[in-house]
Amino acid sequence: MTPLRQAALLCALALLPTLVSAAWHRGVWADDPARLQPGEVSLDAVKSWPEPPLWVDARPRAAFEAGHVPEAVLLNEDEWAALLPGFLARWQPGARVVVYCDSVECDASASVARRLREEAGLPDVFVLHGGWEALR
Amino acid sequence: MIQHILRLALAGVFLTAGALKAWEPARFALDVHHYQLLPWALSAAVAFYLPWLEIVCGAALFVRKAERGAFGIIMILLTAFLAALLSAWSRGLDISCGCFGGSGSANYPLAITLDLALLAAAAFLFRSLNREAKPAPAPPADAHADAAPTPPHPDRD
Repeated sequence: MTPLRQAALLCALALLPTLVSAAWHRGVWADDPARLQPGEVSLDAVKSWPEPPLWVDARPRAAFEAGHVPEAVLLNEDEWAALLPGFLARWQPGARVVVYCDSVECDASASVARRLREEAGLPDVFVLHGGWEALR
Repeated sequence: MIQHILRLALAGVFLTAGALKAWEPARFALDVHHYQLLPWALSAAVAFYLPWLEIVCGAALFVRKAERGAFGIIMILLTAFLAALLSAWSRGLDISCGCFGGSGSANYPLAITLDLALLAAAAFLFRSLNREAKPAPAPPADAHADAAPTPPHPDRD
């Protein structure tokens, strides 16, 4: 068998487990990081804003202390009552707020953003798509 | 002896890298996507197919009837990885290499050096195979054969 035929056979052989894996993990096809959910904003969009937003870090304190966006305010659901006054002291009317958590897979930023809209009544609150993973 | 060690190392790297990435295709799809070379659908397709191709080729290095094809694919893959790494490095992308799954920023000089070393090993082994496959040299011609026409050399055809 020529090397070319061997290579073609190996490529075909690799297709079989590929198809099984693609069917098993079919959710991956829909996980396009560029697809924004309602209320989400991409990092590129934030960078294009004329004024920088007020960043809110919705991750646990330990993750925040390990590294965060400069000037970001820590506001997570575990310490909501204790941290909210500090956040409100930093917030200015008209300011856009962008909340982030770890990555596309975490929900903390969406929860914090929802509470800021519903409980604190802030109008311009967004979730950063991709979270801290996109910021690094 | 050195050829056996190199072959084992090459197969080990491809089998390990393939298995680690095949285990977490979603993570590897993101790694591929971060190179910003392919749209998401193609990144996902690569993430599903590439690990299994690496596993199949790593295993085929021990199958005499498939080893040449495996070396060919491995050299093409390593060249493609090299191009992708150089492209990402030149654009200053701070991304995970994706070479063995996992996370963390890519160490470009290290990843490129490893790629080049594997490429050199694969090329050396492939060339050794071709040398082994060449027919034994013809016996020295005797005095009576001097007048006979010399057959053309197969390599010069």
